Amino acid sequence: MTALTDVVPAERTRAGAGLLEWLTTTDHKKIGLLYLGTAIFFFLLAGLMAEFMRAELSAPGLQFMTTSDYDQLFTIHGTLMLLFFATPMAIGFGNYFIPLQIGAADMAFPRLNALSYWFFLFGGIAVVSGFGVAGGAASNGWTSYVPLSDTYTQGSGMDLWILGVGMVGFSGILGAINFITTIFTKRAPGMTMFRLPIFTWDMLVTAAMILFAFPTLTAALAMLFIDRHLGGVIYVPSQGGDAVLWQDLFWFFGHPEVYIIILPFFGIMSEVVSVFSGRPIFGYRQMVIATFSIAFLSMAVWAHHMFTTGVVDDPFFSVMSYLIAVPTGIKIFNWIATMWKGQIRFTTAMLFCIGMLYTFTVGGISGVMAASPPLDFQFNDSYFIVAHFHNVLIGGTVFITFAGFYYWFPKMTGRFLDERLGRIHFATWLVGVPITLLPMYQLGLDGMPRRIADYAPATGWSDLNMVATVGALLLGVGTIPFLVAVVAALRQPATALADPWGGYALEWATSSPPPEHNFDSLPPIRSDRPVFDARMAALGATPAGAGTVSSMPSLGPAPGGGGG
Amino acid sequence: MKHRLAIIAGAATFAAAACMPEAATTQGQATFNLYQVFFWAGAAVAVIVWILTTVAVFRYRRRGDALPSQVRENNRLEFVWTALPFLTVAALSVFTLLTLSTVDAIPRDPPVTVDVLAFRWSWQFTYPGQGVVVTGDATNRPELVLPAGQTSEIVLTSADVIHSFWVPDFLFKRDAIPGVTNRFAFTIKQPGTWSGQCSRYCGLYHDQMTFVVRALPVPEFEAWLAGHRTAEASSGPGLASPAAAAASSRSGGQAHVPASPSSVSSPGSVP
Repeated sequence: MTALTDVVPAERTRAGAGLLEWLTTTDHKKIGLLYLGTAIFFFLLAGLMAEFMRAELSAPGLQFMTTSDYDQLFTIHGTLMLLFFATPMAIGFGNYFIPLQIGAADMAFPRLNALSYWFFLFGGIAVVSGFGVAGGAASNGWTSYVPLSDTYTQGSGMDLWILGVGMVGFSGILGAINFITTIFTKRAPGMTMFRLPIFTWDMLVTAAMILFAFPTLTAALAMLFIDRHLGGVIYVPSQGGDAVLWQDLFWFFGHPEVYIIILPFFGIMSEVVSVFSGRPIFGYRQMVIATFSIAFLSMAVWAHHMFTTGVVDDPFFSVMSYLIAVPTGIKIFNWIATMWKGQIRFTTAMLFCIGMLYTFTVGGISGVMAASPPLDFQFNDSYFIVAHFHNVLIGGTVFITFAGFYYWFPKMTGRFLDERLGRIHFATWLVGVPITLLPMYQLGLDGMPRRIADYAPATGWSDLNMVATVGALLLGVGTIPFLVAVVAALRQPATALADPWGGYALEWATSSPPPEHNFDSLPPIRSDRPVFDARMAALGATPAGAGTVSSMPSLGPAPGGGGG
Repeated sequence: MKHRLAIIAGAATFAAAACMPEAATTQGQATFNLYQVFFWAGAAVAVIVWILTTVAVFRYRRRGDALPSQVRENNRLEFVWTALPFLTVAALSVFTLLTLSTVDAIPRDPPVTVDVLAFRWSWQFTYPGQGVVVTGDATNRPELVLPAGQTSEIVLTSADVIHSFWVPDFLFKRDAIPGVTNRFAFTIKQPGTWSGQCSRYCGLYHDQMTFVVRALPVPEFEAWLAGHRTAEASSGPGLASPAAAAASSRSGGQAHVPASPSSVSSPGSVP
């Protein structure tokens, strides 16, 4: 027990060093915080854009903006959410917690790690700065289909988009190399591969997927740039180019990408659900196999975005897409089995995970529907698809982002996010998501295409659009308690002990926040739950036989985090 | 009890929020039927997951400090929830592939063939061998007139960027891609009028790229064709040159209109 709790959090308040310290740091924890803070900033920015778009769509006609403004908003909203929020959010959590979870002092390549972050930041700045140039930001959607994005789009906004997305692509590749090397080479003695926490496993597989997927994006972007500025005709059909090539390349990146931004969050979910259920993750090995299955299958489903092009093998890509439902279903059932017969503590982190089981499931099911080509002939590029992927990404990625924040905030800062604000935050989002998205499903079936700023009153879409806008507003308002909680927490003194939740993985074996070198000492690593094992050993109980009241002493100290 | 009501309310909301429109074509009818299979299969899966989650949440909420069961594997259970999703998607695959062959079928000798050309930002419908061409523009939604009860074949391509030909009431869309010719066919069940639109974002006036499908009884359709055969030269509404209309109604957007209207009417420049 001494090894766990007697590590006094060293006061390290060198305020003077301040900015320079953050600019030059190679500490994986500081870089992780930079990633997380920047990603949340882009999340809020892109969320604000969503609110503007929902306001515009609340009624027929153009109320608040021009069509051109709207086109820029949906393009930058999607680009930021996917590439500058979801992906870097996963990388940020990975940066902070993978070295901790494997018992390492830092990443394998600390300076490369810093370079990855700065590529990401400046890529984001490039994309957003499009709003300031003549002609405005990129406006062809985050998918930027050619030939529209090619010779048909003038203006440097599109070029800034290519530059920014290319930079974040490089950032991802460098980060992936770093993660893979770190996990393979920096594990503490005793930390075998099958003792890795599920989050680390999922980040490892995610990094491998990035290595396969992102270079394709970079190549596609380079060719787009060549077409636009160097006289290329790669995507120009009238001169022998191919208008569909971009879609193949983009989705060969883009479909793995949607798993790149969900698998790490599946990993966080596994951590949170098992800790707050008081049980080990159910089906550890099956979870790892399911992660690998998703990764492999995700490389062979890209053309399900292209069913309506009429030039791909619809049956093959349909069946491959269905198959992904199997490992995804396995994960859902394993999370429920982890909760089953547990002692569930309803902390905000756990609430978001439970909310994920309700909302993500709907998005997953509508995804299976969309994997059917005949049904996709109706859904494709309609609001049904908009509802589907927001259901998956909000229900999965965003909910678990919040879960990760509430769960790991004490470790990262030594402070707790207020649980009462957290419950308000969770409740508004749980209610807001169906209010926003269910009308969109129906609008899509009724024939509303995506990426339109205006629709005729005769379409009859006004009421459902108004409901969706109210829901989106609720989501926006529901974010305020979260921001208040963060600011309030940061203004309080650090009080968190090393292991406030009764955690399992090694990040809970060091102080909150950890010292620069991460660990003064490590507990013995004999399973995937070394901190749990150490706690049991300190109590003199064997994990299997423990059934006494005193065996869970550290379950309830979080403020407001006790029983439900 | 409270949560059971919540589940029922949730399921009812979900069902109410996901109604596929009735299909106006026989091919769309097949898609409609497939949707029912998927919807109810999906609803069943959702309800199972929701019920299991809800039961776990209420039954296993923390009741004390006792260490809960640390059992972490059960091969039989894990096999069950691998096999069940697998069998489910296998069944859904069969339904899908059967429906796909219906929806994608093209008769060898369709009674009517229409060449559809998408361009920024309207449509041109050509009836080959009939001397009838209908060209839309910003102010005139073009009308695609087809016979009811007969199978019509559409030969689709684009003059500039990628568009998509979507008639929501047919439950069908297909992309219009420059350099690619797509063919599909559908059989409109009854005479009527339906709205269609471009569903693939294609630039500033994407939302205005609409059209109308009007199905007539076969004799009336024949009469319509005959009536418009000679009218090609005259400039009745719906047959106007896209150039004039684009210039008159969109003076603000001219800089963004590279699809020169002449490229639409002269066959030589159409891919």
